[in-house]
Amino acid sequence: MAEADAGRSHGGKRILVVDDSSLVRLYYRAALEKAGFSVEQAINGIEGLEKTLTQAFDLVIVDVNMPRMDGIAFLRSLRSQADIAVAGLPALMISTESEREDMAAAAAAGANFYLVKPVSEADLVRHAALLAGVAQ
Amino acid sequence: MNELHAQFVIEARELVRQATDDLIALEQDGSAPARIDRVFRAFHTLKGSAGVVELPAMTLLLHAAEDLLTAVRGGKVAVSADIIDLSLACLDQVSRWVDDFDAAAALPADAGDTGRMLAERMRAFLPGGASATAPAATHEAPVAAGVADWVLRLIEQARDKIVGSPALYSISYEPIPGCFFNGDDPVDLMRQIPGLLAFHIEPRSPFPPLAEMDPFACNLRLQAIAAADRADLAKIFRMVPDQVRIEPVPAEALSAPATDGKSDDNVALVRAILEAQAELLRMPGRTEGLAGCIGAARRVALNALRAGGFVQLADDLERNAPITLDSAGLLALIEQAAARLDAAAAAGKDSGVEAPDTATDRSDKPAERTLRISEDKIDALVNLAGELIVAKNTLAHSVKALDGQGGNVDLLRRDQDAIDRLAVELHDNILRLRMISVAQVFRSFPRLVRDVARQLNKQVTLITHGENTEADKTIVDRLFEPLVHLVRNAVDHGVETAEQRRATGKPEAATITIQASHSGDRFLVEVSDDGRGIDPATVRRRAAERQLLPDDELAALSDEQVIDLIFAAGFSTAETISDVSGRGIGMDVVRTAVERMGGRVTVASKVGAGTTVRLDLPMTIAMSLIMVVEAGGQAFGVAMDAVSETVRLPPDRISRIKNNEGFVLHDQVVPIVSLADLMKLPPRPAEGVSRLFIVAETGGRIAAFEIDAIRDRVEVVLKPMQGLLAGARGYAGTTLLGDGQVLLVLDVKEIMP
Amino acid sequence: MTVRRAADGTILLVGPCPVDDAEPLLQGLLEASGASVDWTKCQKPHTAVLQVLMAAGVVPVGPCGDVWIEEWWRGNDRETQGQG
Repeated sequence: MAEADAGRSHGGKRILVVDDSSLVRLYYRAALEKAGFSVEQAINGIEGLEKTLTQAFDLVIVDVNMPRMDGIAFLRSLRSQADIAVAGLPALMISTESEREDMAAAAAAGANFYLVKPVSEADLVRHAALLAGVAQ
Repeated sequence: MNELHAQFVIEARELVRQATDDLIALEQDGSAPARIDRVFRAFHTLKGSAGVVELPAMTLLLHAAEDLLTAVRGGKVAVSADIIDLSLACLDQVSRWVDDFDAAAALPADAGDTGRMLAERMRAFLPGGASATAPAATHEAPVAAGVADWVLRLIEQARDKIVGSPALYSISYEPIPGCFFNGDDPVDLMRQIPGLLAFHIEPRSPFPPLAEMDPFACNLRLQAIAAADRADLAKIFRMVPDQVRIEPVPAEALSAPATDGKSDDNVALVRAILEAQAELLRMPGRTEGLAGCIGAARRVALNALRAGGFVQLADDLERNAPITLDSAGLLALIEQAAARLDAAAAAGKDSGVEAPDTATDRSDKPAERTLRISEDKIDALVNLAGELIVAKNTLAHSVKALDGQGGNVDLLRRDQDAIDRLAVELHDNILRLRMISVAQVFRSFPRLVRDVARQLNKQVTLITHGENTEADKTIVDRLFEPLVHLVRNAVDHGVETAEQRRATGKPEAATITIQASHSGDRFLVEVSDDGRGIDPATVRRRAAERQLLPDDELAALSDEQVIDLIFAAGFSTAETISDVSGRGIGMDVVRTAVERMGGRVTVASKVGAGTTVRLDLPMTIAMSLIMVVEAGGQAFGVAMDAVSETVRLPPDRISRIKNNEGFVLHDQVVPIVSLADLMKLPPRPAEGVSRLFIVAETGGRIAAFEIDAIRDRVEVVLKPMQGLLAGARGYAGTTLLGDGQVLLVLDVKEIMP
Repeated sequence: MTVRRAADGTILLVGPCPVDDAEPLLQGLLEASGASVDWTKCQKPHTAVLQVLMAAGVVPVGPCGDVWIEEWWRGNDRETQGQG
């Protein structure tokens, strides 16, 4: 992961949470920070993309359904970035039960893993740890 | 000891060694993440193993160590020599416990206290200090599998009372409704629990309205957590075993954060993540964002493997999959990693996929399949092969006897030749089984050098060469002790302090090299240092003071010869009696040990430049099976392969022809030789009782040596005759017996009349 | 008999309270619902006695004369109350 290490502080792994719901962001953030991650938030795909282009992350957790730019569009755009460190950012997509069919679309867009809501705190941390590379 | 326990002992020893190596390396490399991971993993695996065989004291200690290493790995605590020291001390303790467990199938009675104390010392390094015993567990309910909610709840209640992480038991007692009529007082039983930490009592079913209540029907459930001995608890509840459940509280329930441990679930998740990456790469017709998908899949696969503890798999994948690899190539590698993960999971642990990191070209050649065979079993084979050789000799004798009787023995002789050849080949091959590399001896030394150097406040770098050099296990095992002396001496006496070295223009860190090699059929081990060297003048003075040699002899010695005096008994070059080597053991111990193996030790030194001690050892110990016999009141050894049989004969079987005695055995006249006479010892006085002979046959001659008694049959290393006896005929050599006695071993061929 | 009734109606548990005390205690509590129970002089209350107190939802006036009970039962009470 040397390609992502440049310029990053020696702290915990950095995760970007992209979700339009402030409650969801708060929930994820609390769980992840408690587990030692440092968490950045974005309220939609556009803001998320801006942040991935300007900051280094180890994982992005992205909701499927968001206003303005949804998770699928966000991922497609992310994967097409010229900078491989940005384009190759691990992505965990989270969606609701009713959007199960989005799973195929998520994979097509380049999501590395997919979780269906509700996601427990423990599950979130466990998946984030493995995807972002925090040793168990 | 059952198989599980035996396996645990083997595995634990390996893990302790591995963790020790990695800790030392960690200190040298600084906090390289891969190193920390390896150390952590070794501790983690150890902890898991200790849990499997239910050694709570060991588990709790390792848990503390693991927490500390987690903090180190997370960058929360910096690696320091103190932390390394403590971690090594932890491994030492575990190692002692493993020995205890191996010997007695249990840990010593004080294990809990010992473990707790050491654990607290480790926790003192954690942010928040010793009181922060369970940092993560307080804000999130531990999800330790199989631990009942009530147990977790009670532990939470008792949190303040739990010091360190003691071995805890949960007690659930559901008295039968009629128990009061049996005279039971359940609360009173709970009262007797030693080390009670939490107690809870609740109705088993909701109480009825008071008016309908039967006051003598027990409707209660009593629960407790206790830091107690299981046996004590069982004793308290011995009358109601059917109503009570006493179970150990897993250490995880005490302090494990939710994400701790490489559980099966976690392995499954790693597997699922790998599969998802493979899916991502299999997606057909992707053009847009392809590089990003490949890059992300690669990163995630590496992350998941590494985070899941499959560091070796991750390293292999990373090495084989450059960032520029195409989709199909990466897919193949990820599928391969997934398959290896499955294999590892099936094998029960990840060590199945872990290979020593020295084998860099491992992927190119199939791994050599090895079996773990206990030394006992191999030694049993060696013994059997030895017996086969003896039987083979007997067969030769029988064939000859038959031949003498005019029988047709051609067929038999052909078979005998084949058996001869096979027996010798088998023996050689089995001896080769005993060849092991010196690596496992060498690997103790980084630790030793580090500890001794730290104690003496010196800086020493240890370099080892030829770790893969092989020699007989006995030699390698016996090598350890003299090597320890030599290396200790090198650090203590050979190496100067950093200031002294600086003053003489040397680098502050001294270098000690241990090197093993083969030279012909010899096995050479050298210990060199770049220290101050041995000053012949000092040795001369010391030797004179100690009167090791008469003055004129001493004066006649060259400087090189004088230096060899350091191996003389009673000589020590220590200027000050230090804790390190001033224990009354000098270089003479080294010489004795080496000579016992049939080797020689020499030293070369240059003042100011350093010292090299060279051990010249046989590659295989030529073990000879000898019979220890007694004649004329003295013990002698006789090589067994010369002895065809031993006989005890009554006086009437012995005939006298002129001055010679003899008897007839297997239709052959066998002359008698008195061993006592031969050795110029007083002859055996008693007459008229049966007499004991060993019959030896060699080179077509036969003789019976009369002896007083047979003491023993032993396997020994024969040392050639030295000194005054070097030229004496009739002796095969000498050997040191277990009690330190020097035994003369006779060469039967030479003393045969 | 170690279950007594004080002048103010308080039920007193005095001295060792064996299994037989469960019945008079239950009777006493039935006769005067809401009566308080004082166990400051109680020693080694039998499980059956404690069970009646639990069933009646009574939190006795303490501290309990029995140190062990005081230490462990009180915690239990608090916890039960906290949960209820």
